Formats: sequence, C-alpha cells, structure tokens
Amino acid sequence: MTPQIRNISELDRVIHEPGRLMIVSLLSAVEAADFLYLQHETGLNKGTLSSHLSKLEEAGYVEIAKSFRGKVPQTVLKLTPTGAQAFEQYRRKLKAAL
Amino acid sequence: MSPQINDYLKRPKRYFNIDGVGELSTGLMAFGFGLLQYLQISNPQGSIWSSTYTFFAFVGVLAAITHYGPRAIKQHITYPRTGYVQYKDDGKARLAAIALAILLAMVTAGALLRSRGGFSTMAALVGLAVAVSYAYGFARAVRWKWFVAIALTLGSLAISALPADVVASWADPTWLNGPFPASVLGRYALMTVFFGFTILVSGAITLTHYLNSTQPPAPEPE
Repeated sequence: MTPQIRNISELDRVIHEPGRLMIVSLLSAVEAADFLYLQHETGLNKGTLSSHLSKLEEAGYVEIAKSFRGKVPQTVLKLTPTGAQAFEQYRRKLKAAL
Repeated sequence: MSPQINDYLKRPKRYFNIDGVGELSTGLMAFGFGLLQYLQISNPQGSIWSSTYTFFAFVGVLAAITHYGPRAIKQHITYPRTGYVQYKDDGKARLAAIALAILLAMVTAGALLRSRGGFSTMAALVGLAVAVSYAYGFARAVRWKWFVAIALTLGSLAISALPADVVASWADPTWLNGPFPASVLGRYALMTVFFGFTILVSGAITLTHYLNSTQPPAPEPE
C-alpha cells in the first residue's frame, strides 16, 4: 500500500462525507453559528442537515445548544476542541494524499 | 477538494457584509468625517465646528450609530433571514490593524507637512490606498464591487487633479494659510466625502439586493 493510499484510507469518515465536510469547514472558521446559517451556506434541507449534525454530535465534534432569540427558537452550533483537532488532522492527511 | 474547503473556510468572513452592513458603517464613518471637515473649513477658524468638544461629540454620535446601527440590522434583518454567526474574537489581529492604521496616518501627516508641493500626489496615493483596501475588504467577494473599487480609484485621481483654487473656493478666508491650507484640507474633505458617499451607495445597493433576494423562513406548522 503506497503512503498516498494509506493516507486516503486513514481519512476520518465522519468528516469525509461532503455534507459534513461543508458543515465542519464552516464551523471551524467561526466561534459559533446557528442552524439557519448552516442551511443557507450549505444549501442542505432541514432533514439532511439535522441528520449530519446528529452524526457530528455523536462523534463529539459538534456541540449543539438550543435557546431562544426573543420568542424564536434558535439552535446554535459550535465545533468542539476534538472536532477542531479532527478537522485539522483531516486536512493534513488529505493534503498528503493529493 | 482542498480549494472547496478553503472556499467554505472563507465564507463566514464574506457573510459579514452579505447585507451591506460593513460598507454602510465604513461609508457612514468616512462621510461623517468628511462632512465635519467641510463644516470646519467652510466656517471661520475658531467656530463651533473647530472646537474639540464638537469633534468629540461628533465622533461619539458617529461611533454610536456605526456600533448600534449594524447590530440592529443584523439582529432584526440578517439573523432571522440567513442566520446568526458569532465570529472568533481575533483581538491581536484587530490591535495590529489599529496600530498599522495609526502608523499610516502618522506617516501620511508627516509626509504632508514636509512636502507642501506634493499634496495632490499624496492625495492620489491616499485615494489609491483606500481603493485597494476596499477591493481587498469588499470587492474580492462580490464581482460587481470591482466597479466600485474602480470608481473610487478614478474619483480620487480626479479629485487630486483638481486645481488648488477650486478646492479652496468654498473655504472661509481664515483657512487660506497655515501648515494645512484650505486647498489641502478642502481636497481631503472632498475626497473623504466622496469615499464615504460611494461606499454608502454600494452598501445601500447590497442591502436592497439582500432584502429583495431573501425572506425569513416560513414558520413551522403547529
């Protein structure tokens, strides 16, 4: 197995999925963002976005906090330190693989 | 894949001006300062417009508007339509930018004092610096804003080429002499007002376009 193929096979599968990669990339550039912002930037529908966020939360990569802005419910998302570290590692491995 | 990741990493920064708020506050600040400078030199030296208290009151009002105005727009328009973003607090970068701006202002002022004959060249350089900053800060993300950057460049070149007696014509006679004569202050006031107005118009177009192209999401059925 060449080092390139090994790097590809070692890529984090949770992050590697295109939808989740978009979400993690966006969240890594900010302190926090809400569900609506992610929906606007990724173009994913509510159901798909929720499903991706659940997987990222299960992996411990994303922290989800539900609150209210006035009377409007708001879901605020934040990349955890583990998520940030995993994303950095993912980028390094991807760069090495290409 | 990597260029796409980089694109997503840059999106939050671009999002800051999606509603034109960045330009509206920058434009208002520049327009306000240009207007104050115009009021100062079109009235006699020692008038109320030249007093330190007026300056601080003016700056206070401008700072309040440019601080609370964008917040209100974000809170009531942007967040309900396209979402909320909390940016990372990059304090060191902000301090470095402020220090650089102060240094540039001091270098410009020093150069102005030394080369009284080169005021128009200096004005053209200041204009180009503003146009480049605008292009870097705003135009990179949105293609049509390159026209604004070009307008800023051409406008500043035109203003710096105006004859000294034309730019001094609306100044009070008490401002005709001194280290910064009316011909110099008038040129900079005109340039600042021009920058402010152009950037304000660009911001207003962006906000109008944003309002027309976005809607708050429909409420969920009970």
